[in-house]
Amino acid sequence: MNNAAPTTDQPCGPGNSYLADSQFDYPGQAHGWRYYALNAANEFSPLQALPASAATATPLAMLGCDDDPHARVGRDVLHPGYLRRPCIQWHPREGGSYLVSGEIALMNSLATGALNVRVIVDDVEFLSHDLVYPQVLTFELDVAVRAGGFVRLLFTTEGLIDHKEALFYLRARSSDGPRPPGRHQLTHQSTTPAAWQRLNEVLGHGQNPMAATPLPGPLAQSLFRPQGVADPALVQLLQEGAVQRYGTALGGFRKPRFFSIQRAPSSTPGPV
Amino acid sequence: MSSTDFDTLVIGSGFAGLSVAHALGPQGVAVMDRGEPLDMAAASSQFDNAWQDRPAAAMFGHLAPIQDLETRLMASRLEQNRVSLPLSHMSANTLTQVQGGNSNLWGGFAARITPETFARDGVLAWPITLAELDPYYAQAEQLLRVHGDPQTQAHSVVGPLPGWDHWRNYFQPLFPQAHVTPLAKNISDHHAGPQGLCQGNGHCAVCPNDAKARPANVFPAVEVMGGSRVDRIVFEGGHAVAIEGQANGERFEASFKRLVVASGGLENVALLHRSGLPGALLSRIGHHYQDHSACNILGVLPQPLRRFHLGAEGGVVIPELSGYIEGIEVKTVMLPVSLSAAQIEQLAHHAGSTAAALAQLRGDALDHIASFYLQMEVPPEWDLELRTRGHEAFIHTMPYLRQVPLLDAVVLQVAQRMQAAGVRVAAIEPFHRLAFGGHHYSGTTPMSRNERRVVDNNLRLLGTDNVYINGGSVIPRCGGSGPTLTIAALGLRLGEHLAQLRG
Repeated sequence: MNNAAPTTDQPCGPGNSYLADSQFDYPGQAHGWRYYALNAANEFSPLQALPASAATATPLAMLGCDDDPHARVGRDVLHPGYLRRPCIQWHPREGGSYLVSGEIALMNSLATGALNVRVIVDDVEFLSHDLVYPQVLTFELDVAVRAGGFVRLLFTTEGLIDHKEALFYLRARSSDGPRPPGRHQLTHQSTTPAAWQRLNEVLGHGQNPMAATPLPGPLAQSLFRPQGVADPALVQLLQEGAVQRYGTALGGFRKPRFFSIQRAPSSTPGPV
Repeated sequence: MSSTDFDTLVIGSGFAGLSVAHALGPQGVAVMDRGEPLDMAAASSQFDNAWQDRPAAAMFGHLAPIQDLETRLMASRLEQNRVSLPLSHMSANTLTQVQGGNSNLWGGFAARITPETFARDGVLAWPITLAELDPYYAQAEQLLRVHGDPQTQAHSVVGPLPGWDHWRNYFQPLFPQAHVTPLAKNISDHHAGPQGLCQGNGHCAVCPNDAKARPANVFPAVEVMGGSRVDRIVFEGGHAVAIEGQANGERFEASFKRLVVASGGLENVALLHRSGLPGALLSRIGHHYQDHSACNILGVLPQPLRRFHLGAEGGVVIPELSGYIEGIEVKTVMLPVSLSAAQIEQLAHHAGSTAAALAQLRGDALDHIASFYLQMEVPPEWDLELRTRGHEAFIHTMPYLRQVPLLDAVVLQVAQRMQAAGVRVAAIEPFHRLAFGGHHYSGTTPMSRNERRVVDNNLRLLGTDNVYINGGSVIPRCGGSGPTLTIAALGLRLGEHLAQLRG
C-alpha cells in the first residue's frame, strides 16, 4: 500500500507544488479566492444577489455566485447604469513566485462594445485589455506576490454594452525558484476562434469557394435574434389556445397503473 | 475498520455495473454503491398525486413543478452523497446519488452508436467493430425491452412501439427515412419478467415498473451493498489490492481478485485521480470529455400533429436531418409533445404584434408547429477536460465556448435542410449557447485504437493487471446516440470476459 490519497488541502497538479483553480474553489474560499463587487466609490463588498426590481430586471442571480459554477460575469453587472463591477482576487497562503494563467471570453454573439479586463498584482497593473466577441483572451503571468498580497482580476465595460456574460478560468500555481521583486514575465494573446470563420463561411460572408450555399437571411436572423420580451397580451392568448388544444390531447393520455414486481432483497449497507 | 474479501468487486450499480454482475452471475460477485435504494413505489405514488393535482397551466409546457418534485424524489438522503458537481446549468442529473446514480434520466432512448461513429477516425477511435459488439447490443435490447420501429435495420427491437406506423406515414412526403426512436419501454403484455408495463406518463425516473426507469428494474436479481462510498483504490505496483471507503460513518477496507470500476462517467475519473495510479497514465485520464449540447428548431409542418402519440419521452428520428455536419454528429428528433410556455413566448416574440401574425398564431398554426430537437455531440477533438479534485469535478468549458460558432453553423445547415423539405422555420432556441453537458460523461478513460487509450479492448486499465472500467468514460466516441445501451452492451461483454478468466 504505497500511495496516499491527496487531500483537498493539497491540490493535485503534475509538477506543481501548489495549484489553486478558480473553478474548483468556486465559490469556496479554502484556496484563497475571494469574489467581490466593486462599487462606484471603489469599495469592495462580497457579491450578493440583489432583490428583483424594475431596475434589476436583468439576471442578478449570477451575482450571488451560488448557482453559476462557471462564475459568469453577469450582464447586469455591466449595465451602463449600474456601477458595481465584479472583481475576483486570489490571496496566496504565503508570498513567493507564482504562475498565474487565465482565459476569458465573452459568451454571447450579441455582445457589443468591449469588456475591459485588468490583471493587478499587489496594486501593480500588469495587463489591461479590451475584449470583444468572439475573441478569447489568454494570459500567463510569472510574478512574485508579497506575503499578504493578492492577484486581482477586474472587469469593466467600455461604451453601452448588453449581453456581456463572460466566462473565465484562472489558475495560480507556485513557480520554481525565488523571483526578485519587480521582475515578472507576461505573455498574453487575444485570438478569434477558427469556428467563427467557419460560421461566416456558412453564412456566406466568407471567401472560401468550398463554403456551403449561403443561408437565407431570415434563418440567420432567427438564430441571432436577441432574446426579448414578447407582447404579454399575445402570449396570454397563445397560452389559452395551447391549454385548450393540448388539453384535448392530454385527455387521452394514459394514467399510471401500478404493478407488483419481484425485487432482490433490500440492500445492506457496507461490506459484511 | 472492517475488512472483507471478494472474488470480483464491482463499484457502482448503474447499468455499467449491474450489466457486468448480471453476466458474471451471482457467485463471488459483489456490487457496491454509494447511494441508498430508491423506494420506487413511494416515489411514484407521490409523483402520481402531484400529477393529478397539477395546475391547468401545467397541461402544456415542461411541467417544471413536477420535474422539480421528480428531482427531489431522486435525491439521496445520505450526508456523504451531498456533493455538488459544478458542471453546467444542464447538469441537474448529477445530483442523483441514489442507487444506480445517473443511469436514469435518459427518457428510455436506447439506440446503438451509429456505424459512422464506430468507423470514424480521429484523436480517439473505436478499437472494436460494431459487428463485434452486435450480439451484446442484442442482449441489451432484450434486457432493456427496447421497442421501436420494426422496419429499421439500425437496431433490434423486442416489439413495435405504438405509433411507429403513424409517424412513418406522416413524415413519408417530407422525410422518407423518419422513424420512431428506439425506446427501452416495456410495451409487450406477454412479458413475464420482473418489469411491468410502460405507463406512458413520460416520467421514467420515478416509474416503478419499466425498463427505462432504473437499472435495478432491469437487473433485479443483483444484490447491491448500498450506502458504501469508495474513497480510493490501493495499489501495489500495477496490482490493485484493496479499496478503502466509508459506510454508515465507518471506515472499511475490501480486497478482491478483480475490481470493476463502474461508478459513473464523473466518479470513474475522480476515483482514479484520488487513487494515485501507478505510471504516467494519470495525465491521460479526464481528457476528451464528450457530452451533448442541444438546440430546438420550431418548424411549421404541412399537416397537423397528433400530440402525445408516443408519450412524452418518445420522438421521431429524422435521418435526413441527422448525421455528421462540421465533424459533429447531430441527431434530430421531432418531439410530439406540446410546445412549452417558453416556446410559445418565443413564437410570440418572433411574430411581433402585427395583426396578421396574431391571426396566424391564433388560428390552427399551433397544431402544425413541432419542436425539432437537435442533439449535437461534442467530439473528442475539442478536448474538453474533466478535472477532478477529491470528490469534486468540473468541466473545463473554454474549448466548448470556442467552438460554439461551429454549433451555430450546424444548426443553420439543419434549418436550411428543413426549409428545403418544406418545413418552415418559425423560431430557433439556441440552448447550445447557454450550456451543455451533464448527461453522457463519455470518453475520459477511453478504449481506442491509438496511443491515447486508457483501457485495453477488454476494458482493463492499462498498467494494471486486475482493474477494469465500464461506463460512459470508456466510450471513445459516443456520437449522437447516447451511451446507455452501449454501456449495458459493453458491461455484458466485460462480464463474459471476466467469467472466462475466472474459469
